[in-house]
Parts: sequence; structure tokens; C-alpha cells
Amino acid sequence: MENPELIKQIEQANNPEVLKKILLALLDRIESLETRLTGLDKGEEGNENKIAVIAEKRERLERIRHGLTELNDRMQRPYVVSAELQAVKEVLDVLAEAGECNSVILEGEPGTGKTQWAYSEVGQELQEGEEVVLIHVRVKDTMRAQDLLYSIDDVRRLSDAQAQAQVPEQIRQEAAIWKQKILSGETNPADDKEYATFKAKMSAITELGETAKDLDYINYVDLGPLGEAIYQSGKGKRVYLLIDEIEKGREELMTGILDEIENLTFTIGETGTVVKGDKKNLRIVITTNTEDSDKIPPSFRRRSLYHFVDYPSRSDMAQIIDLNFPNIQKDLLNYAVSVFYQYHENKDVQKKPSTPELLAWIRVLTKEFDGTIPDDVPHREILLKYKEDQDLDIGRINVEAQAEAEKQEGELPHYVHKALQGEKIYHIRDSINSQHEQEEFAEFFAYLQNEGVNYVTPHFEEVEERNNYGDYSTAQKCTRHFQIILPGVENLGNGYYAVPDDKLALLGGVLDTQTEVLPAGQKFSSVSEKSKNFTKGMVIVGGNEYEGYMVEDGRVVINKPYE
Amino acid sequence: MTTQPKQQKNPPLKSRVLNANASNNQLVQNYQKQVVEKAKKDIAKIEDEIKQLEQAQ
Repeated sequence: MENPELIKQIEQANNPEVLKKILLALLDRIESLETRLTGLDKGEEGNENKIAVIAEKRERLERIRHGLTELNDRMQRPYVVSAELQAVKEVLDVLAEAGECNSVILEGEPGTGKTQWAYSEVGQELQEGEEVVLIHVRVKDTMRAQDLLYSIDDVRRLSDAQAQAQVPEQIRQEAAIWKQKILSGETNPADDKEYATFKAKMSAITELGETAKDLDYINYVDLGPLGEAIYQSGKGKRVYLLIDEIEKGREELMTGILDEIENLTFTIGETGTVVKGDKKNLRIVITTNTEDSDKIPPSFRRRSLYHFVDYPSRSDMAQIIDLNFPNIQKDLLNYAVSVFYQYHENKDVQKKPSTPELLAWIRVLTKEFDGTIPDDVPHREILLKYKEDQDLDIGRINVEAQAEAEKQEGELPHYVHKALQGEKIYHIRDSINSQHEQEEFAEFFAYLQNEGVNYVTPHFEEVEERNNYGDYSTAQKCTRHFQIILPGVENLGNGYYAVPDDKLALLGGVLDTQTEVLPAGQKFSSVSEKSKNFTKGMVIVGGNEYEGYMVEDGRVVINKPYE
Repeated sequence: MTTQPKQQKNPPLKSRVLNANASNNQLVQNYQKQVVEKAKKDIAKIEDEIKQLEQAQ
């Protein structure tokens, strides 16, 4: 239950933590009310009206709970909005100002930020001093169009009638009986003709005097989210109506609110009141998950703008991570982005990780990070939700390729294997890992940065070395080599990369050789190593001498200068 | 002859950050307070209705 002292505090203080406490206290209170509803449910089997009355209260509590939870989770979150979505928002604003269209359908995979966008837009406008309201509807398959517009609180009206001395005694008694019937589930006020007759009788008494006037239906109208949004916008208030996961609703729900969304007008049948909204003030954001988006009828789509919300680009993702973890080390950020996109761009992954999953993963990694990039992907359970996905041998930053290359000394290098398999292999100049040459590569690193490519710059540490005379001196040693982390580009160790044609332009400036596979029949000018699997030596091609590896089938792999 | 590209009326949009610093913003917190206050009233109303249901039992 609520703590009165806490409520006093929240009314006086502007501390987000206190706000959160009161919010949690309200959630507790909702829970206790839900328990009481469960108690009322018992023994009501077969009494459909009563069950419906209880269900309606449960639904309202659930809606409040959801609203409070979302408010707590989302209202203060920053959001990196893509250029494309910003452009759509600008169009929406122009059309809404012109009174033409004020709704947009956002489609995308779960976790792409469709819902969050609406919250952050509202947060942004609040920060800019706008008076704006967000109304969030989470669509369910039981929802009816009428629920979104309004309902009449019959029980409260009957209670008030019962309690008012000005109301004739006979009507007060009848009101008490009808209230009992509704509460016990004996009747459904929406379709009981006798009750309709009584309602008309009761409406007539509103003419009797000032107090009785309070029984006017208009005082017992509970506006639903769409009704509220239309009403508030008509009163000049700026409103965002977020209709979330519309595909979960039945088609009748969608077609049932078409006119209201388009014309922003509806009539309260019981009172004849016409409620009118204003398109200039209302933005309707409708979200749908890709999987079931075909459930949205074309008539509904026709009345809205449409935008597909994709996963953030690499640079936007890096910004998202930076916003959520302002002190994250660059290496860890690059690693996390690299792993995320390797999973995303692998067609074998059944369920690709979402942005919230990535952020949760980073939260765990930051606690464990000791400055060393993991060889593998720890805590896959946060990112991948299928065993097959977790078993896939991907998502590794190719630290391991370096180790593999070193381990294979005396064996055919990894890049030669890859070249023989038809991969296009290139070598990055060794000087990129020289401390004295770093200035020369600074522009190249900037270029990668600006292109949104992930990479790791070489890292140098001071080490003590003993020279030929036995004297100690300090020297800078490269303890971490340059690495580029790019989908489709495979790091093969020792500066060799498999690079597809469309990515070659990114690396062109720093490549020194490209690997070529020559047919059998090449001649060696000298041989330096012969083993069971290969022969290594100098091969003469076109008058020039190249180091080459000849494999069992006679083909020779050489590195030619990159042109 | 070379043609000059036309000057765009509006420069192309770049991605940008919305709602940064909301956690320290008084206006955002005031809004949250209003929503919580409304929720309190709504919950009290439902509680009252549940009480009536219990009495009618």
C-alpha cells in the first residue's frame, strides 16, 4: 500500500529516485488489487457478465501498470534517430500542419526502437518547453474499437443517483437495484433493453435541478486512449498517440478506427456529444512488427505514412552505445559493434540480436573488461536465443586468426589456403604496425572512422631489451597489431585479409600485395623450404622474382605488388 | 562542359540524438509526475469499484 509520507515527498521533491519509488509503490498497489480481483473471480464460472466486469477492471489495471512501467523505463532514454526517420517525421509534420495526414506506420523487427522513438520525441519536445502528452496503447486481440474511443461508467452514475437526495426516492431505489444487477453480473448494461428504459427515465431527471444535473451522462464518460487523444488535440494540446503492435489487434479493430483516425471526430452516442480533434496537434505513431505486418489492411495503410525501421547503422550503433555507456573503452566498443554486426550479417543466424540485447550484453562485458579483447564471444546467452545460433562459429573478433597464423609456423600459411580456395587475398603494409610510421597512417584511420568501419589501431608498450653487448635499453614494442573489423572482410593473420571487391576501396591506400594463384608448371629459381605439403622458394614470373608456395597439385601461390 | 550540381534547398539530414540529458531535466520529470498523479487517481477509482464488487458479493 502507499506510504503517505512517501507521497508527500514526491509532491514536494523533484528527485527522480523518489519518483521511481512512488511509481514502484503504485505497481505494488496494482498487484494487491489484482489479487483481490482473482478472489472475486472464484465461483463465478458461467456468469459471463460478472467475469466480463472483473476482466475489464483487470485490463484497466494492466494498462496503468504498463503505462507506469514504460514511463519509468523509456521517458528518460536518449535516442539516436536515423536520418531517414527524421525525414519521415518532417514530412509528417508538414502534412499534419496542412490537415492532411497525421499518422505514420513504423514497421520493423522487435528491438529496433519503434516504440522508444515516440517516447524520446516526446521527451525532446518536453525539454524544449512544449506542452505535450504521450498516450500509449498496447494493442491486444481482445480490444474493440469502442474501447479505444470511450465507455460509460454506469455503476458510478447509479451510485451517485442513489446518493442524491434530489432524485426521487423511487428512482433512487431502482438505481440501487440496477447497480446490484450490473455488479453481480446479472445484466450487461450495454445490451439490456429494460436498463435502457431506466437510463432514459434517469436522464429525464437531470432537468430537475442543479444537483441532479450532475447525473448527466457527460460526467460519466471515460475516454479511451484514441478518444482522449482526439479530445485533447481539439482542446489545443499537443498529443502523441502511440498505437503499439497494431498487428496484434483484430481486423475489426483496425477498420473500426479508420474514420476516427482520418477525421479525428466521434460521437458519444448516449449524450450526442461530438468530440473533434485537431490534426495539427496530434501525431499518431502506429508500430508493427515485421512478422505479422501483413495483418494491417491496405485501407489502414493508405491513410498513413509508412517507414521501415531498420537496425541502426554501425556509426549510429556506436553512438547509441556511447550514449548508454559514456565511459566505455574504445576497444570494447569496437569489439561489441563488430560482434553484433557479424551476427547480424550472417544468414545462418535464426534470431538476430536486438539493440536492447546488445546493450545488456555490453553492461555485463563492461563489468568484466580488463583491457583485453576476448578471443571469443562470452555470455552468448544474452545475444543469442537458439542453441544453433550459439553454436555457430562466428562473431569472433579475429584475434584468433593471428594466434592461428603464429601456431601454424612451418605449415602452409592460412592465407595461402584461402587463396587456393578462391578468396581474394591482400596484405596490409607491415609499417602500419610500426610506431614511427603512425603519423603516416593517421589519415587512413580517420578515413575508416568517418566511414563507420570498425578497426583497432596498433598498441605499443615500452619493453626492456638487451642488445648484442649485453646492455639493457628500452624500446617500443607493438603489443597489439592493427586490425580491421568489417563484415565480409576476413582477417587471416600476419596482415593478410580476404577482401571482397566491394570493400577493396576502403583498404586500397594501405595494401602492398595481392595474392595470385598460378597454374602448375612454374619454375623455382631457389628453394628455401620443402615439406610434405608444400615447397617454398623464389619463383620467376614475367621476369620478376616472387616468393611462392607450391602445393601438392602443382599450383603456386605468390604475392604480387598491389596496383 | 561540366555541370555544377544543384544547390540543395535543405541540407541532407544526419542522424541525431533525441532526448539527451532527459534524466536531469525538470520538465521531463514534471511530466512524469503528472502521469503518476493521474495513475494514482485511476487506481483509486478502480479500487473503489473493486470494493463495490466485493460488497455486492
